Amino acid sequence: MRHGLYIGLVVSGAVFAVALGRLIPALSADGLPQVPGENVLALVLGDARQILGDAMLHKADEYFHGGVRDIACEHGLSAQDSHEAHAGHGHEAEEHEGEAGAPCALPGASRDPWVWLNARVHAQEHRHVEGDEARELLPWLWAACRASPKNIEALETSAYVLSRMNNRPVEALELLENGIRKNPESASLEFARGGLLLHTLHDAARAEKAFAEARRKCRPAAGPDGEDDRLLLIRTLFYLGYLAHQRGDRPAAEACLRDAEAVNPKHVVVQNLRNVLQAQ
Amino acid sequence: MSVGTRQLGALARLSVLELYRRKDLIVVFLLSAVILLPLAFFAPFGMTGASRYLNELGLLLVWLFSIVIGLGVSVRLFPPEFESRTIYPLLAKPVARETVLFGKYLGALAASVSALACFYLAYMLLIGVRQGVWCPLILAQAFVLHAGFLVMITALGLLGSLVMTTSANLTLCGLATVGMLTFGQRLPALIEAQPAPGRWVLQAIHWIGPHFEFFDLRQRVVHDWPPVGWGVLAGVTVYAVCYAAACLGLAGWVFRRKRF
Repeated sequence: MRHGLYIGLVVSGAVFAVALGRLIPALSADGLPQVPGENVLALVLGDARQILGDAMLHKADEYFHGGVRDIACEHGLSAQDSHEAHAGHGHEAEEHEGEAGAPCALPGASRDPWVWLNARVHAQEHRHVEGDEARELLPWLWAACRASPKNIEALETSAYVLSRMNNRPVEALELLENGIRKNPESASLEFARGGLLLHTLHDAARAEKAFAEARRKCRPAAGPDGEDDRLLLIRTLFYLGYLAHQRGDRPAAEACLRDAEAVNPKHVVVQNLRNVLQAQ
Repeated sequence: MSVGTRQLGALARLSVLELYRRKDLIVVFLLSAVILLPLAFFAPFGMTGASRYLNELGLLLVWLFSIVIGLGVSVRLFPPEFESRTIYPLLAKPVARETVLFGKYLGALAASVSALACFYLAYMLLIGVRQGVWCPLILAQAFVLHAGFLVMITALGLLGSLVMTTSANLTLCGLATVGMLTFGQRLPALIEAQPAPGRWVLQAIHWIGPHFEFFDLRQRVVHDWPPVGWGVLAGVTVYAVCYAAACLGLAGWVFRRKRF
């Protein structure tokens, strides 16, 4: 008798739990912290994924510098402007010819014996990974993208490392397109895609479409907060103007120049576009 | 062989047998295999050939498990003897208290270093099979310094086991170890950034605290940096021996004055 009662209670409890599990999302879908269809990682970590993604990206940067932590390097892996600024100039080694192998002056010069020992036990020299070693960055970048699909910096850096440092532009393009699907509002990802299509895959038509998308999505805020977006807009307009000029569409190119001048007429990128259009 | 040496050997053998009787090593190896094997076949973005992430995780596990075993063995050297009162028959034998203390320390150290040797052997097999590099000099140096780390940590754990409870000792030693491995290198910068009272505390930690980070060569091993100079290696080893000797001296003084 009692045994039957227990079974009944367990079964009814299970039915009640399943019913609640089905009802709650249906009745208050907007009030739930999880987004339907997200993976287990998203459900378990929630917003902590962004922090985890940043940590993985930081680790990749550490690997880029041969395991040396907290190094002051303006060409760090995460510096996106640096990626573009050095595009085609071999980011890996040349910039630091003078610095490579340079020991950190502070610990070496210290009279503190513990600091002296530490500086000799732990490598302090400034170096960058080169050639085949660049693939060592990929596990951490993959983990950064996987942990936080909304981490635009991780996606852009991974695409850069794949295409430029590992000669895998097709995989880089696939990664950026996946990133765009998950971050449809990101102008920066469209810009990166355009850059990859133009510089590495030499597909000007698709690149122009990507830059046009970037221009459409880029809406800089007023004031200092919108500074980065304004720079992105100017650079996008440069590429659009340049590609229109290449196609022989002079009015479209001049329209891009006018739009760029409206944002910041004295910017060096705007001056570059002006020079390109005045060249003929 | 002198009586003292035989007594030391017998006491040390007991500690080593205790570690292998508890089968901690088998658990640790199984856990490592569960973590590392799937990662060994990982191909990020469809590309194979990356190995440093695996080397780093492997060495991290080696460090983690060596800390667990080193502390686990050393903090349990005396408290169970006090609790079960088996210390009395031991002290009733014609053996000096210093011999008991040093014998137990040697046993804990031998157990920890033998476990460490197994870990490094497994790590060497891992990188040998994957990368074809069997025993680089830097790995041998890493093992020597890691053993130096165990010389210090077992002495510290033993000293703690005489002045506090096992759980308190384990917690404090664990915090000191992880704290020093994480922040030891940045202590000078932290001292500079602190206002007066905090700065004095950090300076005391900097000068007196155990600098376990000296023994951590993971960065050089994983990222193919050249080996450290032999002078530096000798300096760090001397530091470990001196620190352990100070801890053992203090432990001997406490043990001599201890009333059971």
